[in-house]
Amino acid sequence: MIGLRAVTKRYGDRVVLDAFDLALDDGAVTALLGANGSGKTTVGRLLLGLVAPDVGAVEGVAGLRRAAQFQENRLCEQLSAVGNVRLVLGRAVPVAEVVAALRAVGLDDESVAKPVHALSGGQRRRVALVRALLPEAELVVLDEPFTGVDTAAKALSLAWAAQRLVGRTALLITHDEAEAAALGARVVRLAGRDAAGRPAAECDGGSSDLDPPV
Amino acid sequence: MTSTSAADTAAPTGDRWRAVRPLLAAAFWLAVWQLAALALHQEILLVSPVRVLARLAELVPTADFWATVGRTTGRITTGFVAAAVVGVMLAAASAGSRAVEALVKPLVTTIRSTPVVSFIILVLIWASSDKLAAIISFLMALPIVHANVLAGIRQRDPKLLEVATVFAVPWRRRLLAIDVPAVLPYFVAGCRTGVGLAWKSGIAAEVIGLPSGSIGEQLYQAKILLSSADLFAWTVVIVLVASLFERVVVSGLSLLERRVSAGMSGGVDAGVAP
Amino acid sequence: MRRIAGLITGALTAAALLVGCAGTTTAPETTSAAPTPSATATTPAERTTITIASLKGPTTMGLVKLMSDAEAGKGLQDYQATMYATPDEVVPKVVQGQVDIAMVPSNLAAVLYNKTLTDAGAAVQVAAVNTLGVLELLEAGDTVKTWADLKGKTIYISGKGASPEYTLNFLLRENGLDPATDVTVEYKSEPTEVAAVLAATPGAVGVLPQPFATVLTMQTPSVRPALDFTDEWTKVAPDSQLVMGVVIVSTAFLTEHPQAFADFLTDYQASVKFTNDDPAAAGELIAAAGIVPKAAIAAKAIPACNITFVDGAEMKSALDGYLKVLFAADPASVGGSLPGDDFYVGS
Repeated sequence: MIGLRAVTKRYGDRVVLDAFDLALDDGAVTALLGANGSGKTTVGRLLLGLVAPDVGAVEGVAGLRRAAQFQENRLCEQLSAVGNVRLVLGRAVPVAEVVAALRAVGLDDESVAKPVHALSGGQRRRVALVRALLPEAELVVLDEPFTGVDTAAKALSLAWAAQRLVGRTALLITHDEAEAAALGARVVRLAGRDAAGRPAAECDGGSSDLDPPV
Repeated sequence: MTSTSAADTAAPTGDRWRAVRPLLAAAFWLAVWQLAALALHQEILLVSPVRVLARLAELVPTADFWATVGRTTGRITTGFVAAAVVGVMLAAASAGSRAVEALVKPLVTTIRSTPVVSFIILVLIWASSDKLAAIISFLMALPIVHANVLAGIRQRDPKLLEVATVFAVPWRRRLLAIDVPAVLPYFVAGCRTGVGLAWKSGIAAEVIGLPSGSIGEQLYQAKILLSSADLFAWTVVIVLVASLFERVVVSGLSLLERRVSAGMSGGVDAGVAP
Repeated sequence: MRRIAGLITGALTAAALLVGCAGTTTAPETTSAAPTPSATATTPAERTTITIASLKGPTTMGLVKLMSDAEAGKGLQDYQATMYATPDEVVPKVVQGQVDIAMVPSNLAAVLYNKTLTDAGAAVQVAAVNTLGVLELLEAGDTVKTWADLKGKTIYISGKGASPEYTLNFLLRENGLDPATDVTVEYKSEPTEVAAVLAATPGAVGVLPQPFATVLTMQTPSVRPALDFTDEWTKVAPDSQLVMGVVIVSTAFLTEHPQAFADFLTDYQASVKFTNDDPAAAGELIAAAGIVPKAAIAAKAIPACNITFVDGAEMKSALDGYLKVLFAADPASVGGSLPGDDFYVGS
């Protein structure tokens, strides 16, 4: 089981997560929805091992090959789209395959070769998406993957992403329920705070429930 | 209509002046120098630019001249390159380990704050005069390169570093894709300043240590034999060679940077298979 | 009647007074002994202060008597003598006209002449030769016996741009060695540095002027003299002399105070004689001046220092001969051209 068990995380004196539990569906996409500031990105960072919980544990992530698309694009500006993707893949994957993936999300031949600082916001977002989904990773975190991507390109990208996510354990952080549905995700809501002011999670849609995993 | 055409004709004239202006300024100051030298009429105090040019014309075609320039340039280059390499290594080590940083920092600070002359005198006691220029150039350039590269390493985007961590990018690829592009501008800035310092301090060292067949020796000779024309001529040579050297270093590094990113991009620019 | 008498009396008194006065003025002329022509000349001329710059070495060793007399006020003029360790401290002072008289290496005298030459004529002139050959090649060891033995070695020397450099280069070339490739010449700022290296490094080879050579060999038994430059010079250039040091004077001073300068030469010549004739006494003064640590060593070094006073035609021929040798090897060493006749005082 990959997930968070009774995790409390504070930033200064602000409690972002309080005794929070989350179990990711194995080999499927779990979508995390919630208002801004409800702690979604923190959940992602905890799963990726970029931060540690103050109380509780992150389970099942040891030794996993990970991939992520962050809220910011975080691309190497001087490299091309191909270069950015190959950076995390290595030489083992042929260039043609990388180019094919980039074209599948709507980037043309010219955009694929230019340094990414010359691309538009929507193009750069898609490069980051390909970078996250092309490697054969065992845990993928996608944080608001389609921000700034126009409708047509988003359709292409969703289709390609859905196909890449088959059989992969992934966390999708988003505001957009349609996205979650398109990717066949079980939705978990970070519903802001409960009566005591602590962040609570509730689940709706899909068949799994909230109970803490065994 | 008339106003637009007037503006059109004004623009090209303005551009033409821009290129010519620095030359005009130089010519102006040369003329002032020539007039002042003529007015003073004492070559020992102020030699005329014409005399200096004449002396340069005498010096440049001789084999001795090129041998001397070659020797000094070689020594200072050696010192500077060593400073660049060691500076980068020390900065990388300092960035990686608090202990190393704690040890290196006082060393570098001391070197930076000690006056050049003290080093020159010390090194002359320990080494022969022909190694002096290389050692002094090294000592003066090292703290600059170190400080700049360390700053560059410290300001690397932590977000990009997180990407490398999450995807477990091997250190060699990470170095070329993230570290080098981030640090390179700082390194280049350090080299730019370092080159100038290396040259100035290297020549000063040569004037004191007097290694044979060096530019510093020629400067000393000009002093003792009261030859102002020689002094100015050799100074011009130093300024020219040092600027040329700096240009070569900076453009060499830019070329390196472009090669590195092209290589990382996977040679896609050479044509993508559809 | 009375008035006329009064007038006549007044006139007579006046006449008598006039005659009497005239008588008094002329009286000394007639009563005194025949005045010697030089009487007017010996009326003490104005005493001027003469600034002298000398070098730490034989030049000051010949000057010590004059300096000590000057302190006691016994000189013919007032002398302000300052001793400097290196020629490149003295040269700028001459150029800027801050000294009246300077003792400098002979080649630098020619350089100064050439570089301060104006349309009005020479600004400096040479008055006398004061030091002949004083250089010796020493070794902290026992391997160097001939010039060929120097091949591949490092030679320490002081005096870049001055007589020592050119003399060494000349002798090396004349003996078949190329100063640039066959040996490594390391220049130090002053003789004391060279002495220090020789004392501390076994096997080191260096060139020292007197008295430093004698001082070193007496203090450090491991150091021995290997070659004497004066002898070696005579072997390869028998027609000229090794002229190491000269006395130069600023032309302005010479023209404004010819008598004072003549007095200086008198005192100086006497001072040189004193040093050569009474080394023991001179040694005391030399040690007091700080040139050599002990009076006894100074006394022993004096004969080897070749301190002399040569002026006039003899000076011109000796110096001109030496400068010609230097000029042939490297014109820059004498300032670009051989000095003309106006370089030499009293030619």
